[in-house]
Amino acid sequence: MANLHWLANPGRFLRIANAVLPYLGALTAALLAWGFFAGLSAPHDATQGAPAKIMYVHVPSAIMSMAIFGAMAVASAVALIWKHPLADIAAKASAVIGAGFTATTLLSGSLWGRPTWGTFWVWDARLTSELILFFIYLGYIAIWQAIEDPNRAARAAAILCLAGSVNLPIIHYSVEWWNTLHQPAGLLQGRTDSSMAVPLLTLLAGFFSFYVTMLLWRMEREVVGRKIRQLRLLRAQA
Amino acid sequence: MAEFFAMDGYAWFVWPTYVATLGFMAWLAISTWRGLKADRKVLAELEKDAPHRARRRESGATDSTPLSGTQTSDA
Repeated sequence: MANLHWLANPGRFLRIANAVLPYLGALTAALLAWGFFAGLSAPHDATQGAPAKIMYVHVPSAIMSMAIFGAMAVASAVALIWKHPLADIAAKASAVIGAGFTATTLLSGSLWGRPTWGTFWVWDARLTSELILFFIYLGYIAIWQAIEDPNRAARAAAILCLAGSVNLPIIHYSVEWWNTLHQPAGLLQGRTDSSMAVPLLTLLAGFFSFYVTMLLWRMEREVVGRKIRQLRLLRAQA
Repeated sequence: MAEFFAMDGYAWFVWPTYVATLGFMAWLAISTWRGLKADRKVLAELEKDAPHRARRRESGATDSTPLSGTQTSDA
């Protein structure tokens, strides 16, 4: 916990974040540019043809939609148990990014489903549980907007986030537990040819790096926003 | 080139996914950056109007305002 508390000073955290951000931004841009170029210029999938190009945005979006919620659940637990001052800020700052990736996952999956499955949507386990994840994100964001006092909002949002995290293993194992149109994950089992796996892994790294960049910006914005709120309250009392 | 954009006749499925995903990422980056810049400016103005805080800042204590909703302060 020593390191966590060392970073608990928001001023110190912001100084470190701002030192890292230019490199992180450049890394994100490079990974995304190369990943998209390599993915689009890779050969078409042998059985699916051109629609499989959707994989390069669908798979990283889907992994991020779950990874970000997982990160929010960890941050929420840290906020509830240790009252770490940046933990609820990190969870709050993540929510819009995760909700966005969940939306792009659902949209890209839907547009991939039409040419390969013959339908935009089916109410099967994988698709439904991912849609529920999207609604949980929206609920989490709504709590922060509905409760004005940050302490109370943080507590309510953290509890929702921890309860909602039950959905993560359901999404992950849905393709094994139930009969579904959705294929199981194959990326890390050596069944994906390197001409497709390398761009895909690059894009996954790029999406992750994009998330961390946005997270640091949004965390700084939240810290600045709370200082503004505090100063305005002080002024109103004066 | 035209063949590449046609995506074997699946252009209407492939390209909207790229446009939507990249569009979301660009929107998020731009709106976050703009919001951060605007908020930094508001904070700077507020701190300028609070002389006792400015004095503390000059004496070396940056970020003298504790975060609400937290238990530590920077001072």
